[in-house]
Amino acid sequence: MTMDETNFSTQHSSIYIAPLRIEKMPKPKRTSSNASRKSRPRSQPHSRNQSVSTHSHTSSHQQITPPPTPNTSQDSLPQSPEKEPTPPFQPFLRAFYEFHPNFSADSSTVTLPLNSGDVILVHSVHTNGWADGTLLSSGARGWLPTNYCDEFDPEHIRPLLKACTVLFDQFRGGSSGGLRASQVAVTGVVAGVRHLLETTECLTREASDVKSNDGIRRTRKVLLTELSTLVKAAKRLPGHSEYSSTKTATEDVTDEMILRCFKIVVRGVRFLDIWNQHHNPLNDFSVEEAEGVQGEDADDHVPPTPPADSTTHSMASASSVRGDQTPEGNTEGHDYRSRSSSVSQHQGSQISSPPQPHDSHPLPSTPYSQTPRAGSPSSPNKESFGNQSQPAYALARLNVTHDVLLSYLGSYIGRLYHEPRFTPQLQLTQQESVKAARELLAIVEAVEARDPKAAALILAKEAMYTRISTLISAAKEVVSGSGRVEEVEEEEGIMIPDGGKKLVDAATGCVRGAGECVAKSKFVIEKIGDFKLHLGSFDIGLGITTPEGKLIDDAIGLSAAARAELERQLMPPPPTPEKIPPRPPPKEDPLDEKPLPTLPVSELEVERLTLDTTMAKSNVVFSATVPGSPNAASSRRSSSASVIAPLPQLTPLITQDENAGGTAQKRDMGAKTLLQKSIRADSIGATSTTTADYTIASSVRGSELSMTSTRATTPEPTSSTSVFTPLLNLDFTLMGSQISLESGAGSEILAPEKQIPEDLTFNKDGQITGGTLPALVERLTVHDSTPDAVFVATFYLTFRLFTTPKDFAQSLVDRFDSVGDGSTGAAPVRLRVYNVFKGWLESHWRKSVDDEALETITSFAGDKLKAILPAAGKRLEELAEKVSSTDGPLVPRLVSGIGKATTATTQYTLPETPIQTPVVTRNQLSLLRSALAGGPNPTVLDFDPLELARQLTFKESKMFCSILPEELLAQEWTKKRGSLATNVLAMSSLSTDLAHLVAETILDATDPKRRAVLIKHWIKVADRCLELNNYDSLMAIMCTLNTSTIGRLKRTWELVSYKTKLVLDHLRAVIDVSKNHAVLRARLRGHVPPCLPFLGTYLTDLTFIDVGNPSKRPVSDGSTKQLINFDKHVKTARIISELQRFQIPYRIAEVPEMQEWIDAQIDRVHNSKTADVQHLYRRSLLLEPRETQPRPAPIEPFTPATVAPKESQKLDLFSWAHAFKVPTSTT
Amino acid sequence: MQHSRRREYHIVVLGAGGVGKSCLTSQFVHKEWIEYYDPTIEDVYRKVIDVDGRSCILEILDTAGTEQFTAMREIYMKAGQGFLLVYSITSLSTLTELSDLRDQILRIKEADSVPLVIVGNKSDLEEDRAVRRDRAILLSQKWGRVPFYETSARKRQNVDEVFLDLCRQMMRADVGGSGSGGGASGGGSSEKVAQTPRKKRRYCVIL
Repeated sequence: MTMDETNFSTQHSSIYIAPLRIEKMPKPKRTSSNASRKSRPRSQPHSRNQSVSTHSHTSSHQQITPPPTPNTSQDSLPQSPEKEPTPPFQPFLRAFYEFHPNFSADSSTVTLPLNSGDVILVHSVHTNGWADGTLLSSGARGWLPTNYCDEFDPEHIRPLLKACTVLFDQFRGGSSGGLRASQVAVTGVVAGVRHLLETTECLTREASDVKSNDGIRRTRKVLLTELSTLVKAAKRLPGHSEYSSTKTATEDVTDEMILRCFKIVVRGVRFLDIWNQHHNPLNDFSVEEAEGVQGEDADDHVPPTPPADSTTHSMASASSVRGDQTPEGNTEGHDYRSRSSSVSQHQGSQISSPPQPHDSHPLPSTPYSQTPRAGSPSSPNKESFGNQSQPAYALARLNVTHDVLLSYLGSYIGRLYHEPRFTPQLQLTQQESVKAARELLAIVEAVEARDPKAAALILAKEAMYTRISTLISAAKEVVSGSGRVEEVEEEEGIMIPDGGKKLVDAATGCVRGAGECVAKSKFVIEKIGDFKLHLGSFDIGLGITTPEGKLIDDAIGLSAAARAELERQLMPPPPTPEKIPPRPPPKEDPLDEKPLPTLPVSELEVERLTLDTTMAKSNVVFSATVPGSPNAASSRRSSSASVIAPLPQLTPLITQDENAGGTAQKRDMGAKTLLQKSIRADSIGATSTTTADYTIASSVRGSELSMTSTRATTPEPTSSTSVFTPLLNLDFTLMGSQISLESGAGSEILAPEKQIPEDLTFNKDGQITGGTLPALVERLTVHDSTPDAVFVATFYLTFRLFTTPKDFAQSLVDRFDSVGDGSTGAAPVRLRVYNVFKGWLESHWRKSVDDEALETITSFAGDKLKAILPAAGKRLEELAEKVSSTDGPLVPRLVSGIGKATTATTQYTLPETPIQTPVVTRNQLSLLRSALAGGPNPTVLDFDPLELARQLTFKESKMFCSILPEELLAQEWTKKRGSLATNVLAMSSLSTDLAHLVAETILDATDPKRRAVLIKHWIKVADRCLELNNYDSLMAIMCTLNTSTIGRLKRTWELVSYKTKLVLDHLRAVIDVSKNHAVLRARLRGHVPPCLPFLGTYLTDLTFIDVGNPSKRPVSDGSTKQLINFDKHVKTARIISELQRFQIPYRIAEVPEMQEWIDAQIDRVHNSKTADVQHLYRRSLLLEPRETQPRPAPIEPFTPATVAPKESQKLDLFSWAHAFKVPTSTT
Repeated sequence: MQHSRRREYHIVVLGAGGVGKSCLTSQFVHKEWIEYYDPTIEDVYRKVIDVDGRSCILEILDTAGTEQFTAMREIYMKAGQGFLLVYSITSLSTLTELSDLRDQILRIKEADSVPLVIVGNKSDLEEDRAVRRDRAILLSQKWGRVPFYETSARKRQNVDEVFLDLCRQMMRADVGGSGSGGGASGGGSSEKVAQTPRKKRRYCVIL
């Protein structure tokens, strides 16, 4: 892991995202399933990582490092609204296998070669398992396969990793935070290193480890040297000596700092490796104890954060860490603690070269290991539950419960895989599984009660009962078989005879059963309509069960976001460090790590524990009678569900498995993503949109600078499967500024919102489907939770369709006014109002239409806002000023460029992967040049099909990438006059012209042989287009080849080889229009950019959404009150985001001459009168007249003379043909 | 003959942009405005209908929104067995454009007639009417008495009728062999039962 200094500095300047194209993937849809099939073990870390990062991203946007809370320091906040770094917790990966792509021959992608042990900062993970990451040791950025890596987040180094991402964000994000923020970032790194040394007890040179182990000593020294260089470099930051707002931190310094920081991390990792090696042979407890003793947290190391906040901070980071965990996938840190026995092997395996996949598997987290954190609830929580309870719809609840169950079972199976022992943890997991299963069954019964005739449901339910009983009895067998029932609580647990196979099978069966139950229930719900669940006793006794509810939620892996929400709501208003659930990494309470039963903490804790233990006993020992009546577990769930229900954040985690048949094992072991993947693989072709990718680029505004493109990625709420990695792309731009304020704010306010329920409607998944403008605006500025990313993004994108900018601005102002001074919720609401304004002005401003609102905004900023939040008012005024004077959106957002692997117009250039040299000979170039200079025109046959395809792709890609979201709203592109949709129209015109060009070139040839050659050539071009994922050009070429004009040329087709026809058939299958373009859609679903999808399907979808959904909707059946049908806009935004996902330019070298030549050809066809369908058909008739009336004679002598590449002659030919044609076709 | 197995028919909806094709289609495939109208899913344009006691599956291909992609048309036409040619009664040019479309269809199908219905949409906008009925009837006669309906997709008038009529034509063409039974001229039809209600309905509209 040495680094070459110079190499470094040349590479770093290009830390851009490079699109990936997986070369060996003729059929992308197959690969995903292949990958998972190929090697289960490997696919596990893969998927886990994927989803891990997914979650962490989500969480990062919402929870990390909340800035000073508004209540304590309102003023300081807006002063530097952009200063809050909101460092997302970037997951780090560590390569386990070497990865040296030898197939990246394609220039259009950049893959990152990996050596085992490399540490990678991940920016985003794509659905297919590739991640966009930066290699810390070199600073190079590119795509890498996550299944070669494992998540890297060991306890000791975690603060350092976090600090690294903070710093990266700080500098990559345009250093808008100024010097102070930079300093904070650097201090964070220092603190991170300190933490590392401290937790490893190597802080001083005199420490025993340092003294005794040479490796530790050396690596420690190197680490510290590196650190001092960073600190030195930091001093060179401009304006160092004073606090100044200079934003001119030169690239050089910041780049250097980033690289230094990376280096520090690399050194730190090295140090830790050595340290681990040193400690491995020792018993694991030393590790644990060492960890346990140090209670240091970032508090001590990050001076600028005031203590009050630092508690929030630690808690936020705790949640962020939790956010990293998929239900099953735990972070390393947790694993170490919860499974003391396996700690060292595990870590050891990380250090050494490729471990056996099995070893490297992170164990699924146990809910158990996290329980301590949740164990300190206080009374306010209960109240908050009560206040927040929302109608819990059956479907939503079903989904949540199912999710919970799956995560427990996953964890359960995962544990068994790792070590077939019946440990207390396992027991607990089992208990929780059973509880969740009970609850699920209770819901199923409630559903069934509504439709008693649902035989399939009943069957599924019965099956589930049996399965759960099997699991319990299997467990019982194990326990009783060992003859030490009472000692289960012991640390080492009971060896399970058959390696746990029976238990695994039973659990797998449960997974399957649950899937079936859920699927059937959904079917019924679909049929009878969703309903509010009144599971009587469930809701009673909320107060009592709250602690447990928390327990479950935390433990199980609600989505990070959902959890964060919960966390916030659950947090007692004045958080004191003691009350905050200790976050896993920096142990504030060593006791937490001990197994539950021996843990005496607060009273409540104890209460919960006893509950748990009793539960445990009853479950394991007695309770073969599972179903039971609705019990406490259910009520817990219901309480939590009701809290979250309306928050769309929840939807991501809802895994609605319609495909219960998917391999249960995968589902269990793998993280959600894999689950989804398998499902997707299974159900391609199934009906629902599996594209959960919710990308809403807000302001791509065509400017090359549009780094601001905002994407909110969330799953499609109505689809059957949800969480996809695109979540990752959830962009901070969108939420960033808001969250920076909000996560702090939201956590402490519990004032009830004045909700006017009849002004908002939700769908089953809790997503807003309709509302009045004030209600929607209120939703946009809720005080107690982070507004849902999809909602916000959709709002920004589409609000002009249902209101005017002026009204919107006024509504925001009204909202600001509506909160009184006294109420607790006022401050955050105001901040949010400010944030919404800010987001609008910064990156969603459409000058031509929005300027009318400027006056309202300016007066609001200068008057009301300034009076309460002077700094915010000032900032908003500045923004309004800027907006009125510039055309595009204001560019520099506080967000770093990293979250957006999909930013529309970012150029992807990475020097070390050269763009492929164009397949163009000098001869061809000179041909082109002479043609452009007026010489003879070459034909397509003169050029390589691949290069033609590339250049076509290049051309179209440029157009495609500049499509703005507003071009796609309200059927803008169909407007006859003054359409804004210039790029959309240009694209449709280009593909039409291309299609005609193809026809023309073929018809130009008089000799059937030559026509056959041309057809073959075009088929090759089309095939190359497919290889380049250019579906748009493929469609155009194929359209022509399929037309009657070309298709009817029988003599020509006879001369086309069988092989070519096979290729053609393959291409035909791809563009098959039946079943609503099912083939094409399936291909695009999990596609990695760069890709040029066929624009037409998007346009059709958008048209149908626009037409098929009314713009207003009634509040409820029978009511006359009309709400804005927000659902329609959400759908629109979803399609647009799908399209935007692909707005990534190709890495293709432009051949200017060929571009120009193609342009000329296209232009010629475009302006030619002879290139429309009718004329072309007539020419086709001329070339090969209808066979019923064979008339070859007149044509043959004519054509050689007439047909020539020259245009004028072609026109002649045509007029002749026209005159000639009449008798031919009429007869 | 195929009573037991459902036949599947492909209908292509064609017409100029803005004539309300998509509205017609979405009204037909979804009886009411439903909560989750998601046009991206595979079978959203598939519908099982009962025609004269026989059940069949209709798959509707509607290219709304992509009118500019003129080159793509044939690919859709190729996939279709029956065609709805839609114009708007508020715009004459949308009617005249239909002739080209029909020519193209006949060319691709290499037939003199195909199952086809002329649809004058937006009949609720009587005050904006720019195309008189007899104009369309004239066209219908010129094409060999192709059924013609005026519909209001918005008010859901005659929507089902249009599709049913087309479906009957396709069924007849299916039975009577390609080409001969396709037209509305009635020639070659082997099913009197099916024909009568069709005509009735047609005339309801025209007269």
